[in-house]
Parts: sequence; structure tokens; C-alpha cells
Amino acid sequence: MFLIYFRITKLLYLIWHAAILTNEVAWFDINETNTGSLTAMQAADATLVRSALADRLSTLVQNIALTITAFVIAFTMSWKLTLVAAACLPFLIGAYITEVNLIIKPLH
Amino acid sequence: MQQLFLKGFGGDYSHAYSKANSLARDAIVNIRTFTAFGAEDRMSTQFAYELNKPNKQALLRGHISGFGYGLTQLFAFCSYALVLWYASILIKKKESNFGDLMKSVMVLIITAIAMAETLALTPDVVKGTQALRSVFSILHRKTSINPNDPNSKMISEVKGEVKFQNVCFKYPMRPHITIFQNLNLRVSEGKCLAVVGQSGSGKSTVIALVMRFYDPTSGSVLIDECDMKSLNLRSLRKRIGLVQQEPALFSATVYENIKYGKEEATEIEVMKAAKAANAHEFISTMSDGYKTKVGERGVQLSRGQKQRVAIARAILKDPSILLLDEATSALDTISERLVQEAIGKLMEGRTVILVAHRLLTVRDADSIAVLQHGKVAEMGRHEKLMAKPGSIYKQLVSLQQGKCEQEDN
Repeated sequence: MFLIYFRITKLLYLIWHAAILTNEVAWFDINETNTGSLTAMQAADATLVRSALADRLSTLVQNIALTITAFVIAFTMSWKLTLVAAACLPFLIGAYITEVNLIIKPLH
Repeated sequence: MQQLFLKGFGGDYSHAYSKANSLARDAIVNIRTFTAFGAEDRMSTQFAYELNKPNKQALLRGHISGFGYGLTQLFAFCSYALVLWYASILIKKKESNFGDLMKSVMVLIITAIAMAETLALTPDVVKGTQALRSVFSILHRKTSINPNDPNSKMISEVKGEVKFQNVCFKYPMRPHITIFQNLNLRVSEGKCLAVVGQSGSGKSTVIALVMRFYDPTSGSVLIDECDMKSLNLRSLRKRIGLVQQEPALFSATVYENIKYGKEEATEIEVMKAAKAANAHEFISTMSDGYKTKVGERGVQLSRGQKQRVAIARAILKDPSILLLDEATSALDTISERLVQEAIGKLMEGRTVILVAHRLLTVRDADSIAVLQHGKVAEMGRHEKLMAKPGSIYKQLVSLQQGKCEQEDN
């Protein structure tokens, strides 16, 4: 995960920088002539892309794999109970999401 | 958990208190007015009222979210109860053993948390995709002046003739201001052309167009009778040298800064260029010599020194066409002389376009072009322009002399 994180950041900065430098001078005038906002934008975008791709996607992949394995195990142990529990899953998920949104998020 | 519960349901406190905060700030900033009107008590009452508002808000929010939270938790625990109850039935019927059932229950609870986490991430993923889109809009943008256009002609040698043919130009940012209107200008190989004019007459724009920082709106800039647009820009720029008003140094060593002129230059070449630019002496006296860091934008050096480093860079580049944007303000006499001497050496045997802000330096130019209203108003040598009665050049000179005398006084 950390490897992806650093590689994406490096790649992003590199190609972004190269793309910016090939632009004609007039383009820099149009972008409000402030290089500050351009570099700030770059940093902000890089952070967002990084968090979206590296952090979130790795969690996504992890969770999908976890869900599949869990169902396979549960079904082999007791398929009847698993069906009942699967029907209850929406409630459990709903409870967790409200907990995150109402209690944990306002604190940050 | 209890504490989390209480704090979380209070809502966004900092936002709710913003009005009370601004009121308090007002009171402190305008303390003289408030005391003069004896309004301290009234202010306090109003402040107390504003402070109460978020309280009410928090109460409502707390009730609503608390109720929602309770409800969802009820469902969750009912689900646990249902699953466990059903597990007990299965055991009673001897359909399964306790161990297996417990394992599947635990596994499924963990799955529920993982799935919820995934769903909670969706807003972040959306935000990330937006950022990606903004990044790609920059990556996919086609530049209108490609320095390495594959369809352009590579050049290795430039003789150095520069010609402006009916050039019209407006800055893309300021489309309503015409800078050039059918401008015609010609510098032959190895000659020096000085461009003068009042501020805002487009002197520096001449340089920007030869460097092809911008393309003319219409008309063309010809180099050796060849339209600039058809030439490979990167190879062309290698043959054009630019010394700017305020020389741009990078935060690196002096050596590296000079070497920017020519990447493959050897140490001896760099030193030779520095000597020709009158820079070797002051560089040698610095504690680290050529390895001295110039600091961000060259803050460690004086202006005259920076200019000489920039000149050394241009000498190292050995361009066929030299563009000089002269500094607007004078240096002290000694460094002025050193810089002028270095520039003199740099100009030898090259086509030079000199943008002069101070008219003292243009006397030796092969010809002087006076720009006015986007056109060349007058052209000729210094003596010729001075001899012409009522010439704009003469007016500019006398205007500047007047200014100099004022400054001297």
C-alpha cells in the first residue's frame, strides 16, 4: 500500500510538471499569473488523487475480498444461519454508517 | 462512548458560534465608538443573545440525530438477537454445532462492518475522481506553441537576421489593448538594433515575440527569411540568448547557474565565460568560489553581480541572436561599468536587439527604432535622430535627462 502511495505521488507530480512546462507563456498569464495558485492546486489535487486511489482503493479491494471469503466460510459452516444473517446485513450496515456520520465525523 | 455521544450530537460548534464571534470582534475593534456611546451593556446583552442561539440549534440537532442513532442501533441489536435466536433453534434441532454457528456469526458481523466502511468511502472516492478530472484536464491540454513540434524544421545554425512583417499583436489576457499594429522591423545579421519608446509602447513585447513566448495575432516574425512558426522552437531557442531586466537565478550554485546556458559545457568553458563577463573576480573572492549557493532567486548576490552571472550564462550559450532587456534603474557607477563592459563583449559578432529603458546606452547602436502607438515612428542612428527637428527620440532624451537631473537634486 505504501509503495502504491509513493509511486502514484511521484508519477503524478512528474507528468503534471512536464505537462505544465510545455504550455505556452500565454497560458500562464491566463491562469491569473500566479504561480502560487498553480502549485497549490497541484499539491491539493495530488493529495486528493492519492487518497482516492491509493488509500481508498486499497481499502475497497481489501473489503471486497473479505466479504467474499466471509460468505464462503459462513455458508460452509451453516448455510441456513447465513441466509438469515445476510437478510439482516442492511440493518447492521445502516447502523454502522449512522454511527460514523453522526458521532465520529462531527468530532473531526 | 458516552463522551463521544454528547460531543458528536452538539453539531458544528465553530460554525454556530461564528456570529457571536464576529460580534465580539466588532466590539473590540470599535471599542472607542462603543465606549463613547456608553453601549457596553447593550453589547453584552446582544452577545449573550447570540450565544444562546447555537444552544437552541444544538438541542434540536441533538434530538433528531439522537433519535436516528437510537433507531438504527435498535435495528442492529434486533438483528443480532434474531441471528442468535435462530442459532439456538438450529442447535436445539441438532442441525449444527455451537462452534460452527459462532464462527459464521462472527464472520458475518465483521463483513457487515467492512461493507459499511466501503459504502462510507463513496463520497471520498467521488471527490478523488473530481481531482483526477482536474489533473487530466491539465495533462490533456494541447499547448498552442509546442516547443518540440514534430512537423517543424530542425535548425542547427542561425545566421541572425530578424524581421517583423506586418505584425499585429495583443496580449491574450488584455485583448482590448493593441500592442502592435502592422509593425515592420528588420535587423540584419550581426547588427545591433535598439528599441526605445515610452513605457507601455511594447518594447519588451518585441523580445517576447522573438523568443516566441507568444504568437503574433497576424503577420509573422521571420528568422533568416524563414517564418518562425515553421521552425523547431527548441532548436531555435538554443541559438537565441536572452538577458532579462532582472536576471533570474535559480537557487543553486553559481557554477550550476552559469551552466544553464549550455548543459554540456566543461568547467573550463564555464570559467572562461565568467571571466569574459567580469564575474570571475567576484566569484573567486567568495568563500566557496564557484560552489557558492546563490540562495533563492540569487538573494546572496548584489544586482550587478547577478547581472554578470546572467551575462556569463549568455556568453556560454554563444547565441547568434541576442536579446537584451536593459535594467530599468541604474546600478552604482563601478558595477555599471563592469556590466556594460561585459555586455559589450557579449554583443560582439551577434545580432542584438536591445530594449533600452535608459537612453544613454543606445548611442552606439547601428540603428534605433522608436516605437509609438504600435508602430515604428522613427528609425535611424542616434546622431540622425537627434539632428531631426521635433523628433520623438529627442523628446524622450530630453524628458529622461530632466528626470535624471531631478533625481540628482
